[in-house]
Amino acid sequence: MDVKKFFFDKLKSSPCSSANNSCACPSASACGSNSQKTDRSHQLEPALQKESSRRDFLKIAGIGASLTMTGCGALSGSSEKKELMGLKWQDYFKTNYRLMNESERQKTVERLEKMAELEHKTHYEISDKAPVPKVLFGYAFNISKCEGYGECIEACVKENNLDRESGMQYIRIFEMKNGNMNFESANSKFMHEVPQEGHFYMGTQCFHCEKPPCTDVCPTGATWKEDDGIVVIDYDWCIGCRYCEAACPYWGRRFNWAAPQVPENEINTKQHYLGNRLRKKGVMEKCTWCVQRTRNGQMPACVEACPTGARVFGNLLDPNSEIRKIIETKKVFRLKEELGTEPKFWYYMD
Amino acid sequence: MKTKLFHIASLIIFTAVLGCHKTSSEHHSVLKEKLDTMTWQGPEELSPLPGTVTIKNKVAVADSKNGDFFTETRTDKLVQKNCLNCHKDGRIEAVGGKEADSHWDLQKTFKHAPSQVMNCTTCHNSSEITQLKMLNGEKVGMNQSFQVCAQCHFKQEQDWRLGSHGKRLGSWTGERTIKNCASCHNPHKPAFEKRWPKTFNKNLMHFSEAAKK
Repeated sequence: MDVKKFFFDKLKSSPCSSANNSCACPSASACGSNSQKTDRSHQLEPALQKESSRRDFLKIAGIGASLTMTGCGALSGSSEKKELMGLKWQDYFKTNYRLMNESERQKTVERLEKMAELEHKTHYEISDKAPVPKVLFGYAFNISKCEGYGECIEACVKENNLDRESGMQYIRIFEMKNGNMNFESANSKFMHEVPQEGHFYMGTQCFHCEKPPCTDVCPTGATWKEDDGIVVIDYDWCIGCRYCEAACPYWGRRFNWAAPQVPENEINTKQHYLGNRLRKKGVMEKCTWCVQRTRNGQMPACVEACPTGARVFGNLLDPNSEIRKIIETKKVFRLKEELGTEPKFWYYMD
Repeated sequence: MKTKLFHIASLIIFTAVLGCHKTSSEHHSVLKEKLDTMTWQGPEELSPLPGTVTIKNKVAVADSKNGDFFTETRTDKLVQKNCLNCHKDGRIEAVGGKEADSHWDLQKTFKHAPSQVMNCTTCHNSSEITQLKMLNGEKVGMNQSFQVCAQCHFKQEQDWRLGSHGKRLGSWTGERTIKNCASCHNPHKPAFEKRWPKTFNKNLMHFSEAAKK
């Protein structure tokens, strides 16, 4: 049905415009005479028949303005600016990291390095190293050994270029009262000499589950589990909906409410595309088991920094690795086992 | 009506039979499956990883149960080296007139075990001062000091060899070099000290600065 015609007909058949004087208006004079009504409907008719031009005008104006602005940006400014604009354009339209082949990944990280040079005059080494075959990473935490020193937190923040402004930490060390393991009443923001009498310490971070609920709920495919077991995020595909944060039972994931601030001289320039490269406002991030280090054979920063040796890291597929021996020999447990997330992070005691 | 009832009944029985198939409480574990199928069957050669660091100063430790490994040397890390500067012929008594305590710090701060259990010569070899000794008098070098500790702390030694106690150096793969006992524990005061925790949380940092004053 033609909507415009319907309204036109309605106008024509409205009580005020009909021949008999059963007008709903309070007084004949306020409404105007019937003849005037008929005049108005005549005036409206051409307007209703013509295509709605205001919407079209706004549409064209909007596109024109944005084109002009980008055009102005492209035309004016140095060649460096033009190059940066071009790279940003390419970066915006890149495909999902998982769908790229090796050369595309190489190009992607090179492009990011170039963008950093043009924009910030800094030289980063962004790696695209793939998972090492025959490796499945696992992690163990000795709760008899943790004294709450927090060296792991410091090392993690520095290694992974975490936002200093909000004090973002992937690792949380809980100070728990002896006698039970109650995270509800535990304190992760303690600031006094440690270890404190009558308390013990437990650390949590992303547990890199084998059946991660966070990757199931991501609407854009920005997060997934790699072949070596590390759960990663592509910061350029994340839209910041925080579904993953809601899905994680352990609060392993962090959201950037503001643009992360890292002092220039403290930026770790050895980065990985899926790891510690600089993030932006509105994206998720989390512990990546220092993917930029572990795929090169190094230990994660937290493991290396712990002064008491409470943290153990290794390859679960190697039957002679410490991690494998620990889960086979020691009394180990994981958090929230009943949820079936199968975290690859075990706790044990001496 | 009868056929309908029959259909419903058979459906219920069919579902029940299927449902009872897995009676055990062990539900399917993805991780367990991976570990069962993908664990290395023999020694594997991982492609060379550029970040692997080989520790230079190390000594070999034989271990048939856990596999041979390495541990750090001690001789290059001793605070008071050259015992023979004062203990001229290697004996504990021959201090050449330097009785004015070179080991004053240890005498005051020694906290390892009660005097009934331990004194200097429990571990230090009084006839050969550059060496240590076992409880039966056998001589042991500084680089094998972990053997001395293991006499009493055998439980920790077992865990240390396994990998659940102590710390691995360098890489998570390849040659295994771990810290030895004295790398972390001062033999004269082995317990870890209390300290203020590190934090990057600005609110907590203010609090800690104020409290420390």
